[in-house]
Amino acid sequence: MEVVKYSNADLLKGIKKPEEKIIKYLYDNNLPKVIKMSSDILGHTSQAEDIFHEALVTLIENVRHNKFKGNSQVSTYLISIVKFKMYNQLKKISKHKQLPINEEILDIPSLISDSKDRIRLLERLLEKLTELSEECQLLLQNYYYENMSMNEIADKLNYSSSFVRVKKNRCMNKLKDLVKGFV
Amino acid sequence: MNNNKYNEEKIYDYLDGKLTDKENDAFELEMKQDNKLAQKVEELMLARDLVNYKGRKKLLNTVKEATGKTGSSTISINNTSSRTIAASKTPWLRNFSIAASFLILISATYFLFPRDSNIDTGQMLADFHSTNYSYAEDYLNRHSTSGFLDDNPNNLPKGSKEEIFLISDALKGFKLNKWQFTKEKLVNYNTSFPKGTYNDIALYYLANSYFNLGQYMLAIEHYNILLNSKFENNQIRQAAEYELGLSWLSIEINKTKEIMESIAKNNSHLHQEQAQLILERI
Repeated sequence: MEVVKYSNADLLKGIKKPEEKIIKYLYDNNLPKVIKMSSDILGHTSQAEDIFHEALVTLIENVRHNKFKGNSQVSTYLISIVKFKMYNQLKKISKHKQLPINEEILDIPSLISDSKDRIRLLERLLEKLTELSEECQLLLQNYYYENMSMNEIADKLNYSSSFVRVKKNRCMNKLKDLVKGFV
Repeated sequence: MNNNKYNEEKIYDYLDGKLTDKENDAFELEMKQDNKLAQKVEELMLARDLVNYKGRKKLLNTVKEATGKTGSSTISINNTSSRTIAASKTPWLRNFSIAASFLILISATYFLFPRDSNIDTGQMLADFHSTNYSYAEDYLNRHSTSGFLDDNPNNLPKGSKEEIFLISDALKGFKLNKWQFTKEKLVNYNTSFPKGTYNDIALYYLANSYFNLGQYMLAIEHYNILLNSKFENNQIRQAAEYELGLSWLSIEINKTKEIMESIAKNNSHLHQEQAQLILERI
């Protein structure tokens, strides 16, 4: 089988989209290390894959939000995220465990204290999103989650950026009205 | 105060973190004094969190698909410019999804790797694998003259009572061929006592339980972890190595060959003879 190697720049480009082959490459190349880490840190491997998947999502988010610009190797950074998540997991079980890595280096802020309540609420509200038009959903996701600029969204949707701004606010106001009463 | 003085752009700029520190402080002060404005901002934040939550959920599925895994999404949204949300699946569901993922992997590897159709791997496993219970007792007897499986708490070896009862339960289950029960107890043991006294023996029997359950990829994963660890018991290491070779039998036979060849060359290996017989068959 041909062994493909990517440069850091290629990886960053592929992560941002994200490209399936790049995600697969990162996964395949780091999975043994993640399993070993899980065994060392957590004492078991039953959550290794879940944690690794979440770490890949965090990596994509941080690249999109320019929190990781490739100053270190992508794999090194990815493994740091995995380690961070594993120690966070451990902290949930053992309150006295100190996190042996610097959170600021990773730029992954702590989970909010009411996270479980919040997620329950968001799960309940998911269907509200479907009451928005497809275009509204896409626009809001591009803007908020994918951190795309107004110009990028305008190009994608074939609108002017000023119209996109107005439309974004309209969509948000509509969604705000849909979730009113749940705050 | 009336929120009319704030145009919508200002509220969105606050929401998107685009205000200067001074503007931000002024806006927050205004929110403290204006409940209607604060309420509106809270609602917009919830709307934005909802968009991010959906986005993350979708991305997690994309990642799972790209890595060849499917299943329900576990979401934990980190607090980037937005809020942070975390959720966890119930343990049984998580274990189930991992097991399912590995089943998919096993199915995939079944078709990916070249196989010799003349080899009846099921028969080979039946011929060459016999579950060995003695290691646990040999190993654990060294920790206590009374033996590990002693029910009398006063005669128990080192480790906390909870720790000992849990591992003891697991090993009793193993002796009764209750693989699923043993697996659950051992996963529980390793989770509850990540730095416990018996993690190494627990790992070996966990791998062995996966093997007996026919979950060969999980067995391989756990045998590999054990063999890469500093665990010193040579008897168990050699058993793990041999069983690792057997685990590959129905997945990638070349791996089995490689491992059995190494064992067959080792005159001090407890499973040398069995390895030689296996090599004759494959």
